Amino acid sequence: MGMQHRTIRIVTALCVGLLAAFATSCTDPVKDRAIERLGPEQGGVSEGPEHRPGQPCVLCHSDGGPASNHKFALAGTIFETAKGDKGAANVGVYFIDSAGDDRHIVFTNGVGNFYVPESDWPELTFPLKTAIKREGGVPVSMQSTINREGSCNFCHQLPGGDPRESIGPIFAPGGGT
Amino acid sequence: MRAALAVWFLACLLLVGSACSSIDANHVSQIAFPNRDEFKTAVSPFMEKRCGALDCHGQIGRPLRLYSQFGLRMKAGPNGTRDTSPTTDAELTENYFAVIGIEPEDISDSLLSQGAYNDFLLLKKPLSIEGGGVRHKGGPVLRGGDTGFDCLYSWISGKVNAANCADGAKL
Repeated sequence: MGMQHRTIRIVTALCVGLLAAFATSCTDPVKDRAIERLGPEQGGVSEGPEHRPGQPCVLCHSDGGPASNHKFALAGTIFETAKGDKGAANVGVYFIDSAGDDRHIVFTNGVGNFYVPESDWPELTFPLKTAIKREGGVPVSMQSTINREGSCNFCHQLPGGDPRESIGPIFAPGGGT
Repeated sequence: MRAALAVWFLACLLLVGSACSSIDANHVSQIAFPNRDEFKTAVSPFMEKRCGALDCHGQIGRPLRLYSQFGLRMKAGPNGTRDTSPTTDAELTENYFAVIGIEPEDISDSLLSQGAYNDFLLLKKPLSIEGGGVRHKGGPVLRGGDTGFDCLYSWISGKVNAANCADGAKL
């Protein structure tokens, strides 16, 4: 009887161990490869609000990403011009979701990055409408809705991407050509 | 015991064999499609705005792929830049085939019944489950009484409401 109990305990322990190993090995290979393609930190800027302008922020700042401890609902970068080489600071980014009553406004930092932490908008309901406005300027609305992607730069890629699949960087009117 | 197993195996084989019927190579399905020109002028502009963004159906890998000036383009512009011209006729044609190709027989039935038949994906996907729809990765994007929904429904029923299409495209 004692032998039988010991065998059951060993088998149970093995099963639990295997399950734990299996659970931790479950990752999203598509997401992993997309993150890998972003490469290392650039220009000597370390991790923080001003790193990686122009990249799809929510890819890492979401469940399963390396920055999942700082999850973003929405994030992106606004540039001075369509060239996407200089970030536009202090541009207001306005969002309104399809629930209708919930509006969010954030402002770009020194490199043009902006983000809405997931904890600030837990009830966000896609699709969203959005607009940007430079201080003293006129608001410019996006011509389509944001339907499910929290990374603005997913669609608004930096020059060099496939022009059929990218609408180009977001830039604030008044920043030159 | 072996004999019983052999009989059981043969019975299973017979059952599977009888389930396979031959295909009539000469059979032709008659289907009718809603108007292509009305789609190009009224329905596609609505769908381009409301469904065809790059993070939704304006992606190469998605079902119901939609091209538009606001999203996915068929070709790059001059010197490999973004093509910013209005949606081309070739793109509108591709959008038409993408829409009617989802469930062609159902769309045909709907057209022939002037909208009496409406139990198919194009009309159910945009709606919430509570509103009579089905699961949609992008969530509910239209409601039954919306001008946008009526745009789709009226076109499929054979009498497109262009004004509702234009209204539905407004953001």
